[in-house]
Amino acid sequence: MVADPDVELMLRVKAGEIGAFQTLYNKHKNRILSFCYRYSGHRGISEELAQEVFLRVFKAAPRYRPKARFTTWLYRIATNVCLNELRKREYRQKIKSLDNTGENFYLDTPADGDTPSPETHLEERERNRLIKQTLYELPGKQRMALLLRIEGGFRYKEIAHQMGCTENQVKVLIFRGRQNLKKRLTHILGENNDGKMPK
Amino acid sequence: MTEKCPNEAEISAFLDGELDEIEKSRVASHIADCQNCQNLLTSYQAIENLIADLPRVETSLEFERAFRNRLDKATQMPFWKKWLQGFFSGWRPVWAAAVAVCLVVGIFMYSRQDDVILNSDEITMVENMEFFQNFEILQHLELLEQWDAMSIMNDRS
Repeated sequence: MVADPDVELMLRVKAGEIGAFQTLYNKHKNRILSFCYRYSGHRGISEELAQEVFLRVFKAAPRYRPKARFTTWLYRIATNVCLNELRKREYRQKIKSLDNTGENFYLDTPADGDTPSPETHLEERERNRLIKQTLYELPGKQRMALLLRIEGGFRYKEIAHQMGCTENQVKVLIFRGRQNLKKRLTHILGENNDGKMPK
Repeated sequence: MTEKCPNEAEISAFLDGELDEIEKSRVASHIADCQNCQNLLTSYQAIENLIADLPRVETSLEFERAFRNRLDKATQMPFWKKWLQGFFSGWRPVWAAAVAVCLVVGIFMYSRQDDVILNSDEITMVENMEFFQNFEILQHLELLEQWDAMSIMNDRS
């Protein structure tokens, strides 16, 4: 079995090496931020969530015991932070107030260095905004399961551990999430039917 | 002959590579011959790509600054703890000496517990301990108390 270099780093953090924590943080910060952003749908809130994730990683270092891949543990923390924090009423109120002020909900940076034309850029932004909005409208657990699968690349067993449910529940959550997205993004996917299976 | 289509959840799990070997083989073989199932699999894959291709976000300078502040606060000890830690670590030799002295004094006092200082009544009792061990005599102590009076009466008679 290949040793996980991130586990080695985390064990060094446990031993008190701050530099190792900095390395881990730099390696995973953007992924975690993206994950929180996909889940929360808002940049400001996702930054608070991502900071909270790494703060918990740091505080948990003395008790860290490598039972699985480091990323499985890291995303378990991220899952807990997202699911717990976003249940709070303040989040819903924040979202409502932001909707009213018309604040730009998604502030992304382009993934590559290309600079498309203004029209293409606008269309692409609008398309991406629609996809993210649709993703955000999914029920929380479906969204979380899908993101852990797509963003994190985790197996159902790992997702079940991260979300505190069974593998079968994960299978159903992911399937329903895909089904809902398919229904709402039909025009983007270019399909004319609802994709129902023939009997 | 068209084989019965697998349910959509199975197609979803097939895409994720989560079916066992037998189920995987069955679904793969069916999809190869069924256009509807191929379309469904393709649409699920397309959704996966749409989400995976969304632009990534990166941390800003403000994010880094805010996180650094939170981390610093989390690692900072309360003032009183810091003071105590500094006090004890700075005066360590003195505290070690004080503890050693206390231990020595404590051991000395514990070892001296057997050296009991008695008053005159207690000395008398100790000298006459054999006498007092005779319980029958103790039961008639009140007679002994009157002994002097009885001696005098006897002499008079």
